[in-house]
Amino acid sequence: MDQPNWLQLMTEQTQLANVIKTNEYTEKFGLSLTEEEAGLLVAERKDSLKEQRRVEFGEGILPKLIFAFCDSPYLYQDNYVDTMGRLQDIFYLFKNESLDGATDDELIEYMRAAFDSECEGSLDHLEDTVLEQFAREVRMNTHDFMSVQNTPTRWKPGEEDE
Amino acid sequence: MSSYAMEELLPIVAELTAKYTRNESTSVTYETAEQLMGAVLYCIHEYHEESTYDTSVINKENTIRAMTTVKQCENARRAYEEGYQKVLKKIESVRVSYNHLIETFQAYGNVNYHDTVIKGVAGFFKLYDPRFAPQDSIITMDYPTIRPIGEMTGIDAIERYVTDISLEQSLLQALPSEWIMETLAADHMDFRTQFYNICGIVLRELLGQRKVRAWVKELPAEQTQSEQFRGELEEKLTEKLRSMVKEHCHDDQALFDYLSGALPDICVELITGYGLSV
Repeated sequence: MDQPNWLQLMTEQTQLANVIKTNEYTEKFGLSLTEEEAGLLVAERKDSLKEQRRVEFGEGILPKLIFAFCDSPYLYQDNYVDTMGRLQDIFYLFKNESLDGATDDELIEYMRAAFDSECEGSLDHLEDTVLEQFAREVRMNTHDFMSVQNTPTRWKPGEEDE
Repeated sequence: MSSYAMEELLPIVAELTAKYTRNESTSVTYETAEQLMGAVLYCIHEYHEESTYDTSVINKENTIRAMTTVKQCENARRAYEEGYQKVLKKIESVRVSYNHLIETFQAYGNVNYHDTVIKGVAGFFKLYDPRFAPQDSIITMDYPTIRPIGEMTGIDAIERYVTDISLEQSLLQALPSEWIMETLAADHMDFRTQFYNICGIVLRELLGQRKVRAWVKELPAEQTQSEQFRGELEEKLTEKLRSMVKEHCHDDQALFDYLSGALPDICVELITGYGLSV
């Protein structure tokens, strides 16, 4: 089934405005998006939703992803757009892979923690290994969202590796 | 039924999606979105179905008031909310009918009849989700009724099903249960495990299938194979059914309407002998 146009609630311009508005917060971490870059991410969102056969109402996940990842030590201005685009794809993919068993916040929290720790900024490792395991556990209902042990510890600048 | 622009329906679907995900997910799969859109449309359809049956109007004043009511409720959101309330009311009304049915329900030894009515329909009430999937019938209604459910779904389908089973039971319980069991056993040794309509078997016997079949067999084939003959036979059976319902079933029109649905097939069977054990 092609993505039906009638399922788009928010205009792309509104989404664009919301994404650009995130600059107000992310600039303190040295990250910002031009209008063109924001437009690219919004367009990628549409393609990603279509590929994953999902529908999104309201603001969309992109601003939330931006706020969650903007203070990651592995995110720089040079890789900001590509990384956010890829994180968006990965997010929708693993919402499907986990059969919607994880909430948006749970998945984003897990992605961020893993990205900073065992993935050391590698999106390939995040997608191909860590999140595969996560999705499997969610599907089998064995993932303990409350357990500190099961959530990769978020690396903080200045902390020495154990 | 009024048609609504997608711009009117989308916000309702969006709100329903937010409820469905408990605001914990900004996106849902296509399948979920279609299900939720289906839920909205089902309730809106339910609202308009009720509106079209608002025919208690007699005088001009009532007619104008009824038309005004429909116009005011053409707003999609209101039609949805009111339709949803009607779904909830319908669930309760069908539940009352079902509880009444099972107080005296008899399956006459047929396992499918028993399991479908006692277990299957009960399961529907446990699992039915009027908010997020009112269009789902959930159960397969394996016991076939004389009148097909057709395109009906959700609570509408179950309402029809419970009504039809209740009508059948009103006929069956007017007869001695031993006679019914003998009739079923004479028709098929394994009647307990068959997936057929019990009432139809009994009805054929009540309409005198043996005598009629014997009479048909004596007639020339060119006569019995004509449409005219089939029509005349159906008329005779209809009259017989009508007097039977009048005499033994309080002239129940709803019961007559239900049972007469079996007559075309019975006519064909009596003419061809197909499917008969006589």
